[in-house]
Amino acid sequence: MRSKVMVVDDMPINCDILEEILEDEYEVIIAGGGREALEVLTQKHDEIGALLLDLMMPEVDGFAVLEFMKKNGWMDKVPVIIISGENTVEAERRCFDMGVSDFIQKPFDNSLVRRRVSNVADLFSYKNKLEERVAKQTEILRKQAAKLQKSNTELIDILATVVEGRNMESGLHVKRVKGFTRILAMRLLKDFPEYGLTEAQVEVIAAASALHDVGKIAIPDHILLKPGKLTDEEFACMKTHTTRGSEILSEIKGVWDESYSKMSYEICRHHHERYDGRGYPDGLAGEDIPLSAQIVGVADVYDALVTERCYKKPFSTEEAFNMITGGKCGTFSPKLMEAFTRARSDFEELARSRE
Amino acid sequence: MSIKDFYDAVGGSYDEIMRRLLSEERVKKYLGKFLNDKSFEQMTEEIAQKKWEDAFRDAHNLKGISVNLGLQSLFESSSELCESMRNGEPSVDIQPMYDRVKTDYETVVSSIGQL
Repeated sequence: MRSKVMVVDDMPINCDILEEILEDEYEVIIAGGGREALEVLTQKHDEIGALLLDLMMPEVDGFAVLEFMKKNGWMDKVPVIIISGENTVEAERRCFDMGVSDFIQKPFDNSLVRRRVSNVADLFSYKNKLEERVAKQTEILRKQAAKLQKSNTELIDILATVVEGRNMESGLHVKRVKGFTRILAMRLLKDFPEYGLTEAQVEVIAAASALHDVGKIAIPDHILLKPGKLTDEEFACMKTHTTRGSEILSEIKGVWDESYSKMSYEICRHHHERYDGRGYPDGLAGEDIPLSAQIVGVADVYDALVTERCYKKPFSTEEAFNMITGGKCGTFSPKLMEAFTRARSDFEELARSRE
Repeated sequence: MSIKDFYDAVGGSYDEIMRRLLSEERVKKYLGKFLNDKSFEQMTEEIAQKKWEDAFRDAHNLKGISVNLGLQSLFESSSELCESMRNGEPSVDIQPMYDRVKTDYETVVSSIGQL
């Protein structure tokens, strides 16, 4: 409970009268003018339970004190009671517009002044206490959410590491795809607001992208690690990494946040769909393909092109760019291609920084 | 002079002031402090120097303190003078208004002296 009450009036007699009224219950701080009031407020605003303010004062008047308090955000913390001989409605309205709690016109009644002060002081004390408690709890919630998010991404990275270990060629593939995914998604967030992406969603998509090939743990070594071209039969098996992966992910329940599990599932199952509907496994077309999977699809293809694989040499970043935008590696949404074109230099910078 | 006689002399209501301030002792104490207040003197000087903004503020102060102490005549005359200076230089001759304030103020001061 803030036990101090401040009285601001340039007339000593007014200060004396108000002090006498209030001194039984409060420690009364007197400021003999607006300027002095600003100084005291700057130092002690969080100790003052109520402020009794005169309007008409030389130099810094009551309105200037109110302006100063408003600018510093103190009007919500310190209740102000105007005590004035001013009896125009405009002055009273202006004071309430600026957020004062009460307006007492002279002549005032001693016992009523005391009651009005204790009313607003109690109310603000209660309000301030509640706000502090809410702020404290919000902070706890925020910390817990951050912790939860961290454990979500850690869980994803553990799974991704398992896949990496199995899929010998691509130790850094997962990390780079995550980087390309984030670049492309951030570009969409900035330039294509119609997708309604948020920064939090971009982070979830980037984190979940790590699991796009999790289904490869179910592909036999002689197919997964085969250096040459796959037969039709082998390729059909290879394609099942999307469905096997999504099945695995749908089995993981209760340990991670739903937004992560949904996003991981979408990416894992649909990152080989094509915008023209000729992709796999479900032959989804256009915007039926989840945006997350479309984004990771581009990132995955780009990394595959610019990286050496057991069955191919790396392409230059220029070749890779032209192949993707020229439709040589699947078809993508025109908007995604526009975003990819605009983000080209960011992609190339990340590609160059590998190893 | 009793507090009741005092209020009869300065044109105020004893009952009303007692209802608000609750004790004669307190009323007397406040009236004693009124003698230390410089609003009237400052206003007189400011009017002479045509410092209308300052004069308005001091008239306003005088009005505020007189209404709070139940000094009805002084409150009425100082209010009238105060309003005439609200927008800066008065458009009418304020001498008669000022004289009324002066008379009322001197009555209050001399009556307080007899308490």
